[in-house]
Amino acid sequence: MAMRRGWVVLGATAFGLAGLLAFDQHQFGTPFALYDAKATKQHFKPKGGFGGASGATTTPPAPATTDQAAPATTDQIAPATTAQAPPTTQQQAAPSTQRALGDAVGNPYGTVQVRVTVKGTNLANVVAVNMPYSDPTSQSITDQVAPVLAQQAISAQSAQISGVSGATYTSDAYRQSLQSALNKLNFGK
Amino acid sequence: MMIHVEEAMGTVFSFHLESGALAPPEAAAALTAACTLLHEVDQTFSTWIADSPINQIRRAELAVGDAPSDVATVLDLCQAAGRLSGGSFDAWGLPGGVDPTGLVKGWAIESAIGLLVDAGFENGMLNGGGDIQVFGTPQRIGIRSPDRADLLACVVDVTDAIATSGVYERGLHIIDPTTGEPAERVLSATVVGPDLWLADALATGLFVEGLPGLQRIAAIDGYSALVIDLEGNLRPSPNFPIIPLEPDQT
Repeated sequence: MAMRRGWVVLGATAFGLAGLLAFDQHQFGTPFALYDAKATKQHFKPKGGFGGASGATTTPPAPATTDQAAPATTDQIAPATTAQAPPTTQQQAAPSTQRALGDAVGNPYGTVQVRVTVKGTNLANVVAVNMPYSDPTSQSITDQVAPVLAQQAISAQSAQISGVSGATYTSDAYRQSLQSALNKLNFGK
Repeated sequence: MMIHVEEAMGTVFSFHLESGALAPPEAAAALTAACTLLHEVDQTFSTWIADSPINQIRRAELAVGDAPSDVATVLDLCQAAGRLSGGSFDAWGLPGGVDPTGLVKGWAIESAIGLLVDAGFENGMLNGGGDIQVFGTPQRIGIRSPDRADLLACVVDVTDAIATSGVYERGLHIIDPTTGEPAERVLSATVVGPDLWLADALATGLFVEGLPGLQRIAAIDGYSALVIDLEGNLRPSPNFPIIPLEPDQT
């Protein structure tokens, strides 16, 4: 049952991990795809509650490349005997550290595999454990992509930014922007 | 920390400034001068103002030599940026005459920061519609997610300038000068480097060109770049200053 709890906690993370890893919620252990179109759901949420931004626009779905999927494995690090909330009340899961090794996922440059670490309901770390190094082109692509896989899924609490770069052409867009929220909070000192 | 928000050039500029030993009246006067500069640049270069000097030049009613001297300066920078971008930024590439829009906001921000530094401000940044010039202490700058205005795609260590081009706001496009059609190779393109006028222009060109433009920008001394591809993956050049992973303490 450790495996089952692990996936429930993963599903409870506040960082869109479910979308990012694109696993099937109806079947624990289903392969997830790093190079899936849903990877755009993988984000930081900066500190503070900047709600109300509604400028979401959908992007055209791109085909996922999941042709080399293998079964996922999960190891639980913390003792499994501590009081755990029932799987259905996700917010009350007792703090524990769990790691899940993702399935190997094929993409045009090779095979990628990641290990996800979850503490309580927080996504603590994502590390690429298997990256393509088959030829110079893949080496180059890997050098560019590997640190990003780890960077993207880090907890937003540590973002502590003072500004946001991104095309904000209109006043309306500014009012919905994180920069606007940062200005109101007098943030960035 | 002194924060000021100024609407100009069809967007919003956010000043974050530390005045240090600067007296409040002097700080306020310098800030006013910086805002005045932004509005003057808009009056000169806006293609939305019918009789702006740039529109008169586009209609061949005015020679560059007879326009405010900033025009010649900016058009020279446009030529330099065109060369450095391999032609993907081209202020002369579209029908209707010269259009420095993809560079002039970055140049204006850099000029405004110059006034503030000269006046004695010690640290700060100016964010004009997502194009940012930092001075003094380096800043942590988030790059906006292409599909959510309230989320970040990553966080970057910026010592000087960062510019991002994207099409996620309503109804606006960046036209590929080689085809005349809206560019749609990537979701957004970011350039980091010493000068915002160039970062701004290169980001526009990189958005048009997509992934192949990364290497060219990384080869320019002091510059690096990132694109977010159509699948939402981050594709940085190897020298792009993404702030590395920090363990979650919660």
